[in-house]
Amino acid sequence: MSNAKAIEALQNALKCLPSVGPKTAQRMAFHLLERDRVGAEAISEALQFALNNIGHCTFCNTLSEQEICSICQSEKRSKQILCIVETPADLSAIEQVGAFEGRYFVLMGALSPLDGIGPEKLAIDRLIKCLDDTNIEEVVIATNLTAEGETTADYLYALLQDQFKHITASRLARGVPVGGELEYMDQATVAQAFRDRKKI
Amino acid sequence: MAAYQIHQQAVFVLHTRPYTETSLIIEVFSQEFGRLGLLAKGARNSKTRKRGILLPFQPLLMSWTGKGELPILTEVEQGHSLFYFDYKSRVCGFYANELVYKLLQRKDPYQKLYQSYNQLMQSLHDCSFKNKERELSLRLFEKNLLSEIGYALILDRDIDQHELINPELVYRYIPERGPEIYRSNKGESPLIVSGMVLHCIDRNSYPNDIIMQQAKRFMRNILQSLLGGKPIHSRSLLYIS
Repeated sequence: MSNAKAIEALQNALKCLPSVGPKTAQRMAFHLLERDRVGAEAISEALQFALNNIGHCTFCNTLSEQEICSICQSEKRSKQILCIVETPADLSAIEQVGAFEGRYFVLMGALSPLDGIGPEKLAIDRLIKCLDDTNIEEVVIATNLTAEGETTADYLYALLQDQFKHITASRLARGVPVGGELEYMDQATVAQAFRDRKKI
Repeated sequence: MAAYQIHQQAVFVLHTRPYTETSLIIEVFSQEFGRLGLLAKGARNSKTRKRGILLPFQPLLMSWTGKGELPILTEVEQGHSLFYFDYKSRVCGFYANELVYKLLQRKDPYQKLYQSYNQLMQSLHDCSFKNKERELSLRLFEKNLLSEIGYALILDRDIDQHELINPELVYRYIPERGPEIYRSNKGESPLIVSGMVLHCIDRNSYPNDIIMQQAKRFMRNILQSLLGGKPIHSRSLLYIS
């Protein structure tokens, strides 16, 4: 590979990162080569190490260095309740709150027809296997409250009704956020909060 | 040069995708300007309420500035009403969005189709839990879509004799031309359809579920022929046991 080609290849490779276009890729490439070769080395090693060592947890499908991730291995976690989330980032958002003590299942996305993501692109087969192999009693569907997340939740609920009738299914509550003032809230949220109001 | 500004345009969001840490690129279908992309800066920031408004299937009013490929969204508010969709209506909504997204060129105005899309969203809201009405609205939208993008269906006469369509006969529909009387020696085609179905699509009235199903399949095949090899993903969103 000639010099120019190597730089071009690096720029093209960097473009695969989200929100990195040709200009930013060029700036990154020049920065790494001109000013921070140590940093470049560290990125290269960390990336190679991660690629070689990080796979998916065989139970919950999240990214993990071990065959079964630390959450799934933990004895403190309830084995009867499962929370389904879209991404590992959603999993860590729930973990940070510490409000959930069961195990997770990560779909790795949501149904999104305009992005070409149908059920076959999500880990739904693995979810079915996971529900088949364990004694889960309750499933919390914690997909996002976007049109895509809602449709994914509906799909999962239909699947549970069809194949796992014995499992109780629930969906994260939606409505007025903590500290929210009704006056400043968008109409969809207020409408949803009324639809999902609960007895006290 | 003065900035190019649009105020309070009626739109529907077709699709959003994340852009940088806090922004969104939104694809909208607008009343006067057709399909276009907008940059919603800071829309994913936790302090903004924009994210709760920038949802598909809701009539919205948007203002934007800039003339380039990606104008910047300056304001957004809820439009005339708030629609609520059940699971099936949402899948139908995604289907309509997929068609608009894949079949319309950016920045070509389609005012009539916008009206039709608006009516479809209204009826998907009204038809939650009513399958038949939902199917009727979808067939009507598909027919209007085809006609607005220049592929209007010919449903009253055949193309060889220019005779009125006979409900008793079978036709083969040739895309961009129209129906011809089908003779079995002319080979197979996914667009073989009874005169009865053509009649029903023309009047948007279906006497029974079988004809409704046949019309659905026919429309699907016509649209598929226009999309070339591109699959329609929304169909896989309904869970079928």
